[in-house]
Amino acid sequence: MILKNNNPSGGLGNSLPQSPDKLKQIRDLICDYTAERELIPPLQEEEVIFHSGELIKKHPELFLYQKLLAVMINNHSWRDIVSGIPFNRRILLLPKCIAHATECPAQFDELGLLCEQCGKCDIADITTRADELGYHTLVSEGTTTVSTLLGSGKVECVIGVGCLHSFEKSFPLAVKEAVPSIAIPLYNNDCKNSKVDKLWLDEILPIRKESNWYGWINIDALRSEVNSWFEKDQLAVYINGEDESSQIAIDWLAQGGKRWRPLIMLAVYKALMGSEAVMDECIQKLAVSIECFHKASLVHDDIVDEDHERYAQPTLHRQYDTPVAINVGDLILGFGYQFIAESGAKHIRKLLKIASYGHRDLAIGQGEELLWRRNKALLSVEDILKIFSLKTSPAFEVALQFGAIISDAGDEVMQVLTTYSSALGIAYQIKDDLDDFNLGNIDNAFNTIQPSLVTAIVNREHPDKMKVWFEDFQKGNDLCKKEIWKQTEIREGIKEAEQMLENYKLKALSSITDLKSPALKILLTRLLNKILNG
Amino acid sequence: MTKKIFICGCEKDGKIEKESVERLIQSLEEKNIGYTYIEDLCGTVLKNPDDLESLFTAEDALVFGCQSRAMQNLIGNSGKKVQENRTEYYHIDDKDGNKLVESVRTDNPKALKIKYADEWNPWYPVIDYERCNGCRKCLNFCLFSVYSVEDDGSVVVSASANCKDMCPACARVCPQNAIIFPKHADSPIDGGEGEMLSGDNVLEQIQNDDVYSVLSARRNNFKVSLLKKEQLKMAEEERKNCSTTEEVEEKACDCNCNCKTEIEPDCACKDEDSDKNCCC
Repeated sequence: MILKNNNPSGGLGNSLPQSPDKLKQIRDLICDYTAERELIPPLQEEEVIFHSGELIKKHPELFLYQKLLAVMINNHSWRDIVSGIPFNRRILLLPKCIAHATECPAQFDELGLLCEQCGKCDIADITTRADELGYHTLVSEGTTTVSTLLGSGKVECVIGVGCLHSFEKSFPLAVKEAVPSIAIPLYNNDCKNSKVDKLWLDEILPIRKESNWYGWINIDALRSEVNSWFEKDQLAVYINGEDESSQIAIDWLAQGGKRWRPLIMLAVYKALMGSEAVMDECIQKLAVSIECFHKASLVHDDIVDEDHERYAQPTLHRQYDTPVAINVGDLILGFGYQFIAESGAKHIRKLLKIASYGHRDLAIGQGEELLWRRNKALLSVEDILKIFSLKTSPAFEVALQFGAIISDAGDEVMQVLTTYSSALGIAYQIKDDLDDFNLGNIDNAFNTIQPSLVTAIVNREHPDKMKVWFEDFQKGNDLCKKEIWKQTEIREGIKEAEQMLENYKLKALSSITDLKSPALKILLTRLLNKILNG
Repeated sequence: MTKKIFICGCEKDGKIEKESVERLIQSLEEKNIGYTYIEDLCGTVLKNPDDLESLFTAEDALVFGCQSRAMQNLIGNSGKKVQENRTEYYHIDDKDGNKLVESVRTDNPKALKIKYADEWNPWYPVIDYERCNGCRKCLNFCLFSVYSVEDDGSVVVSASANCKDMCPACARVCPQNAIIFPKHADSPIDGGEGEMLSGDNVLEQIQNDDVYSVLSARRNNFKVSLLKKEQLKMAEEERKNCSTTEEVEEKACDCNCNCKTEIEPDCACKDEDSDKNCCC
């Protein structure tokens, strides 16, 4: 079973000049190149490749070093932000292969090597220097630790030493999580007795200056702050009606949910305002108002979709009855507008306009869907995308734009946010759709009540087969339910939908390319990833 | 009991003691038992598998070398061994295995040798399929495409020569401890028993707690453990210095048994009829 291909793979463009002087020379060259352009991180892979191509056009002799150039350009784009991050929030990642291959006495734990400072390799020296500055240092073996750290969403800055191979592997993740990072490549790719350019490392480690970087936005911490605003007694401060409907509304608002919308608003506000952001009553009221619009739409949605459970509790119309639920939904909508009006925010008129547009578009999207249901026919792919866009994008858009407006952001930011939320909203719905299929939740995936992208794609390609399955399914044919997603046509449909999801993600990412605020750009990159992955 | 005996000398690495190999060979020759000496099993399996035909086809074989689990899976992974045949693997120092040799008869009392002349140091992973659950972490982890997936979904080592000398990283990643590097210095990566050293689920903590305090705590714990190690070493030396050598000799028996070197021997053997290997 083993032993098929015994030829090691070679690498092109993988070279690294073997002298510190030459490396320094290229670094200076990159400085000059980037000085003429404004590179706002995080750069996407294509951007980095584009710039390294431009450099090679100017300096063809650097052709061999294309990957190195890409790494250096990316480093340079992060340099200012990294300088603004305190040492004790930075993590220095060293590769285990720097250690002496045979005589290293150190043991390992899950995170990597526990250096005993024996002095047989450079690790002791480097760690001591990093320790003095205040870094957290890890000596890890390979990319698992790196991925865990980057993926945790809690690491604010990484200085990583590794071979160009390993950077290629971890770069997509670093981009996805938008972690400020600087990568310093090893001289060799052999995975043993490796050497790093200490001159370069010494140049990077101590960089520190005051900058416009206000710190990493800890989404989890922000979420717990937001959650505290939705405690019942906290809500009762704003909703002071003694009547029963108001009490039901408070209970409903206090119940469960991820609070994405208020969270998004706050995160944007923090990203744009930095240290000037204050979580006062005005901000709180706006955050609650956004959640009101969302929670009201859920009450009405549950009635329309005949859902019986939400957040593992009976839905509002099951707790009471449909008329009561309709009315409480309306009441919560009213609260939403009331809180904006009472917030005392500087741009109340703008905020009201955005909230009402969102409200309107959501209802139009819902209307399209409801009217479609009367026909009991399958929708076209285009129709479904339109419904996705109308139904989900406004919620994100309102939250993002609220955050931007209270930070006095200009029109160009507002426009970016509109494009971004449109792509994000559609991606969110496609993801939801795919989850139904991938989790085997076929009842949801394959029904006549909600539009599904996968079924629409299959229907477009194989209308005859789809017709048979659809009828079988409606008759409650169990075999059909179990077997259906093993069908090649369905698998192909899922694949196409997955590709579309990727395209909308890219669309969202390319919409933010020109944003001038790195903090906002970083945040929106992270949010995309976070919202689409749970 | 007719068996074929194979001994791997691990010459490309020195994973096993030369003396152990010599001792076994000597005892085989004294008893006029035939055997095949393999200079380096890892290397030959990969580069010249045809040389191992006698091992792959032997109806009943005893293989001596490094960790038994490592050799068993090394041969198993090659897919060349005749499945039904009986093959037992023993560490070269395994007492049971050495005892077993005494009762073995061979058809051919000659000593054969399988050479490994290649320059390349045979360092590559071996998968223990009894443990592997096909999670593919190794596949995604390895930067050099050593692993690939078969049509039936099983993960295989398909480009062994791509593996980087001395890098056992994929073995540490494997949640099942299913990856063996026979030439690795430490257990369990070399196929030996024992658990992977684990640091209170640090990886999990990182995902759930504050990364920075987890890392600080890890560093402090390690510093303390280093300090303790240092103290332990000092304490041991102290103890050695306190217990004088005369005392040891006074208490020890006159025979040549193992416990003579112990500080407080608990020896009950009779002087004359004991040898170095007696266990009293």
